[in-house]
Parts: sequence; C-alpha cells; structure tokens
Amino acid sequence: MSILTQIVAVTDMNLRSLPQRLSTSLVIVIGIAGVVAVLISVLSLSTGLAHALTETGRADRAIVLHNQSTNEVGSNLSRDAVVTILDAPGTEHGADGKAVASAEMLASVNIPRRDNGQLGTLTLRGVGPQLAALRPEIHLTQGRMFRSGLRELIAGRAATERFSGLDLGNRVLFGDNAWVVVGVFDSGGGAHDSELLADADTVLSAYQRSTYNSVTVRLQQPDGFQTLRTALAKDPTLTVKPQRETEYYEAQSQSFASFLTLVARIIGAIMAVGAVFAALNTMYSAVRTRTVEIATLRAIGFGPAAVVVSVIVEALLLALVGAAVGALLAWLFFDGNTVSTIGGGTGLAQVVFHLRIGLSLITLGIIWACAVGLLGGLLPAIRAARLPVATALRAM
Amino acid sequence: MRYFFLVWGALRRRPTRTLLTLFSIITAFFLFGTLQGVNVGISKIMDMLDTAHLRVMSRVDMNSPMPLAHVARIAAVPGVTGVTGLSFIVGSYQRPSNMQVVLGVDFQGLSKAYSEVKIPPEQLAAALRTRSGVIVGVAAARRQGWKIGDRIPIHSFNVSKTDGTSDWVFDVVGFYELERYPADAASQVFANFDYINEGRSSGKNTVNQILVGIADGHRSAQISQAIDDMFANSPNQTLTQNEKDFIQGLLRQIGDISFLVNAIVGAVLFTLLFLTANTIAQSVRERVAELAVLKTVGFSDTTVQILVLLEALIVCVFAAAIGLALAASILPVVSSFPGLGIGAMHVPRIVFFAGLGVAVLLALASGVPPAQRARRLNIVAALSGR
Repeated sequence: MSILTQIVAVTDMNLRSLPQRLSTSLVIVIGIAGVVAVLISVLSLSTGLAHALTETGRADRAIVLHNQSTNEVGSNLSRDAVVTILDAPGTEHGADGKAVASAEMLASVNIPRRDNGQLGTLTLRGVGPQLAALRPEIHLTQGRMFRSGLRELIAGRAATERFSGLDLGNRVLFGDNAWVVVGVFDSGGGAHDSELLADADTVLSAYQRSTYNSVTVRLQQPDGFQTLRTALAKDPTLTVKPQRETEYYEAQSQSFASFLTLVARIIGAIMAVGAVFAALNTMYSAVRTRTVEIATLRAIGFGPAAVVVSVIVEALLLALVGAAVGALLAWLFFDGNTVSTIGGGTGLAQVVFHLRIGLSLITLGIIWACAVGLLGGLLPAIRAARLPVATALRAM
Repeated sequence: MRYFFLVWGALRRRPTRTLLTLFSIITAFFLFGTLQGVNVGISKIMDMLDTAHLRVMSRVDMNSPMPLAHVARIAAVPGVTGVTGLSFIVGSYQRPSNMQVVLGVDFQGLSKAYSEVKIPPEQLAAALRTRSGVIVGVAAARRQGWKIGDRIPIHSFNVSKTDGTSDWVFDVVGFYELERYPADAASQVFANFDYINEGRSSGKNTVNQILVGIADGHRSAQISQAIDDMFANSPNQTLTQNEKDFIQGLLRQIGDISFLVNAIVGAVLFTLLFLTANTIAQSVRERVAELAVLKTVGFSDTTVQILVLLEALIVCVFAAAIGLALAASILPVVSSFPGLGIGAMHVPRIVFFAGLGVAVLLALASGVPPAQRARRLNIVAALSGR
C-alpha cells in the first residue's frame, strides 16, 4: 500500500471516529474560535480606520503644508503663500484656465453625538471653488452645494449619521456663527465623510482668521509632483512642502492604527498560546483514547507517517472549524458597526468609520488558527507515531 | 491532609494533562491581570484628577479664542479661588522636530488656582519681575536640558510676532514640581501671558482656555453652570468642565477602551471555563472505577464529591495565582517602556483578589457537575464498567 493511500485510509477512519470524541474536540474549536474572534475584532478597528484614511487619498492629488507640520491642523499658510502655491507649475488646470486646487482652512466644532448627547469634535473645512473638479468622489446625496458668501455648509454622510442637528435644512450654531446645512454629501467612506464643508472665505471671515491650513492640488500627469516639488522648494518666500495625498493619509493612519494592530497582535498571541495548550490537551487525549486502535494499525503494517498525518489533519480540521466559528462571531457582532475615534490627522476631530471584517482579516484568522492547530497537533502526533506497539496492545 | 495526597495522586495520574490545563489557565489569568491592571490603572489616574479645577473653553471648540475680559468676570464668581487665562504657543526648540509648547499664564492666578503646582517663592517672584521669564516643569527641563539663566528661542508655528517673525525668546527663571503626580507629569513651560499678548501680531486680548480653581470640588457642577450661564447670551459662549470630566471626555473620544477590555476578558474566561470543565469532566470519567473503589473502602458520597471539587479548586486557584503574579511582574516593566508615556502601571490588589475570586467561581462551575456525578456514582455499576 502506498504511503498516500495509507494516509488517506487512516485519516478517514480517524475523522469518522470524531463524533465519539465530540466534547473534547470542542475544546479546540472553542479555544481557537475565541482567539480568532478577538484577533479579528480588534484588528477590524485598525483596518477600518486605515481604510477610511487611505480611501481619502488619491495618487493624483498632493497636499501642501507648512514644512514643519506633520498634519493639517498644525500647518499654517499665509494668503501670499497660498497665492504662490496656486500659481505653481505642476498643477492641473481646468477648462476655464484655473488651477484645480483648493486652499483650505480647518476649524473644529463641538457637536453632540446622536447616541449619548456627548460633545464630539468635528472638522469644519473651508474649501475653494474648485472643490468639485478637485475631489470628484464627493457627490451630494441630498440638497444642494453651499453658495460662497453665505454661511451655508454641506455635511458628510457619516457626520450626519453619528452627530445630531446636522440634517438637511437645520441651522447649527458655532459660537455666534449660525450656519445652515444645505446639503449632505458622500465621498465613498473617506475621512471627509466625517467633516462639514463650507466656502473657505466664509469660514475665514466667520473665524476672523487670515491664514489657511493647507492647499490641495490636482497634479499634472505624469510628473506633476516632481515639477511642483521643485518649484516650491526653489521659491525663497515659501517654507512649504508638498506630499502626495496617498502618502500623507498613509502616514496619518500609521500612528493610531499601528498602535491598535500592536495591541491586537499581543493579546491575540497570548490567547493563542493558551489555545495551543488547550489543543495539545485535546489531541493528547484523542491519541490516548485511540491507543489500541493506533497500535493495531501499526501492527498490521501502517507506517508512522500515516498516523502522524492523520492526527495533524484532525487538529487542523478542528482549528478550521474554530476559525470559522470565531470569524462568524466577530462578523456578526462587529462587521459594519460604526465607530468614531480621533487619530485622523485633524487634531482632536473625530473620524467616523465602519469596522470591516473582510477577506484579508478572515484569512489572517485562518492562518493563526492553522498555526495553533499545527502546534497543538504536532507533539501528540509524534507521540502517537512512537507508540510502542506491543505495550500499547497489551493495554487491551 | 490525607485528602491532599488523594488529590495530589489524582493530579499526577496524567501529568501532561494537568500541566497543560495549568498552562492554559495561567495564560488566561495573565491576560486577565494585565488587561484589568491597565483598566484600573487608567481609572486610578482619573481619580487623581481633581474636580476642584475647572477648565473653561469656548463652546465652539477646545482652543477657539475667548475675550480676555472673561477672566476677570469669572474671578468674581463666588467660590472661585484663582483664575488664569491660557494662551498656547506651539513651536519648536533648536530643531524643527523638537516640539515645545509654551503656555502663557497669569502666574499669580495659576498658583492660586493650582495649589499642587509648587514654585519656590523667589523663582515665582523672578518670573513676575522678568517679562520674558518662564517657569519650566522639572520633567520638561530634564528633557530639554535647561537650567536657570538659559535663554531659549522658540520658533512658533501658530503665533507670529508684531515684528513679522515667529521667533519668541524666553528666559528660564525657575522650575516647578507637581505634588501628588508622577514626576514626569511636570512637563509644561509657563510664560507671562502679558509678554505673549503684547508681542503677538493677531489675537490680542484673547485667551484659548481659562483655568479656574474652586474652593470646594463638590460644587464644581454648580460653579461650571454659573460660569456658562454668565456668557450664555454673549457671542462668546463657554463650555466649563472640571478637569476630570475633561480628561474623561478626551479618553472617550479615543474610544471605549474599557468595553473592549471587558469583551476580551469575557471571551477569554468563557473559552477557559469550557476548557477546564471539559478536562475535569474527562478526568472524572476516566477514573470512575477508582472513585468506586474509594467508595467501596468506605469513603462517603460527600467525601468523594469534595475530593473531585478540591481537585478543580487546586488547579484553578494555583494557576490563577501564577498567572496573576506573572501579570504583576511584567506589567510595570512593559508599561514603563519609554515612548508609551504612561509611566509604570501596577496590577492593583483589588484585581488580584478579583482574579482569585473568578478562579474559585471557575473551579466551582467546572467542578460541580463532575463532583455531582462522582457523588451519585453507583459502586456496582461503576466497577462492572457499565
């Protein structure tokens, strides 16, 4: 009998006896389900946040900040600097001959949450007239665009869902500034969905400020970024630095998301260690209850490899079932949940995002589960293969 | 004592299984101790925060400017012991990456409002005398290597001066320490508000926040309300919170940490309960004949039941104690890792006792059904292998 047929035969026999060992086998399933559920849930926080932020950035746009600032809130650009940046080469120009760019000013506003009434911070972003050309992903789902010169704003979909008073037609008061919500927009899940947008000049005058925070430009293809960077660096009146939007948002998502990832990995790893012990326990006892059976197989000529493989396959299968249960639990409880947190690079402003338990997280969960199953199955498998046949049969 | 040997014998019957069960319980309680330690550590920091300190901010958002005139009006509110306006200069010292924040304050108001800010009297006098004088927290001084007499230029990102530059020059005239707080909490740099106010090109006579000290922390809600009511009909409405609520609000913005921790601990304990219950039940199943022999030689039903329960208790409590001890020795080391910036955290005694309590519950939950089974065991049936 070839080794392969042996393996198939023993594994098959082994799996058929599984129902008799149901309750001990469940230990592996539940242990691994716990590990996978916790790992995936915590990781879905960080991937959800990272997704929301990276979704915001486009490779064909660049954001220009003060060169000592790592984010928009800490950046400060004077009107003169903004005019120079808008004139700089490398920027795409529209049909009307104007640069496709937006000089933006950020203010933060406190707004009560819908669920518990507590004040959360949102970003009020003053944007330039080229908004639609610059950010085509932003489209209105309700109402109309704000008009410049009037205190009108449009609210992101996530902001209206999570915070109260931002429904279409509402009047909101920021200090002595009354604003009317004239539209609701969707930008496809990016960070702007948690923001309020209004005309930059109107925001500047309402907040009595004279400086902007950032300029975002659409880049000429293919090498607009190089042109822009060289031009800005050469200008002695400017102390600014452009970054590709993708890189900027990538960097913004790093700090908080990577902290969450670290937490998930550490807790997941400790739980996985516990699950390995549980799996070892289960598989040792599975081997023990089948001592006579294994010894008989060895006595009639089955090789040790077949026995080893059969035990490992059993552990892996149970691990896979555990991973499926854990992933399903995490998915049922958390997928699509709306969460908000700071950490989007706009100071203390909230980024609203959805927890996403996608294929990549589930794959990761399965890999962890298989690792636990393999570690838990290996030692018992070796013990099974090394079973002294004569002694084991005598136990009958 | 003879019970102990019986239990010991039962545990040694399958040493691998006992050890593996121990290890998985140890892991679970290590996680329990660490996570709850962090949780309790954070709420302990919360408790240290005082409700006798109020923070007045613009209702628009945290740092929007408010008129300086608010400060004098708040000082007149009954129950208020000290008030200072606060202006932020965010900038860098020497290297662009070396961030340094300077807070413009009224030194007299600050020391009246915050009794825990300890400034030697002669240094406080020097700060009041020297317009460009700053009082530096001992932790900040250590970080930047500053000593008294140093002249420090700060390049500001957010506040420009009337001369068109953004370079502010300060003189270190003294240090402050914080009573009751960990040593690295004294990390601010305080400057004279008037010096900043006169030097800046815009935003004159405004403050970003107002710090208020009140005589009785229990009245913080009423006094906060009184302050907010005072400005309710003005264009510059305020939002007053005591320091504790303020920090809790910030933490809440990060996300519901304790919910997450409790959910994880719940998942761990459930998994563990299932596992231990299963192992113990299995071990009783395998020893049915032995238990029957015990009964045959005269052990009462109750004694046999207690023996099985004791086994579960010893395993759970012993493993839990090891796991908690591990957490207690590792958490302070890991949390004091620089870069985390939270300082050493400890597993509080309460978590330790709670953990042992959970271990006992775990032992009862997983030990009672098999113990019951051992109690009801029929000798004849068990010995005949039925």
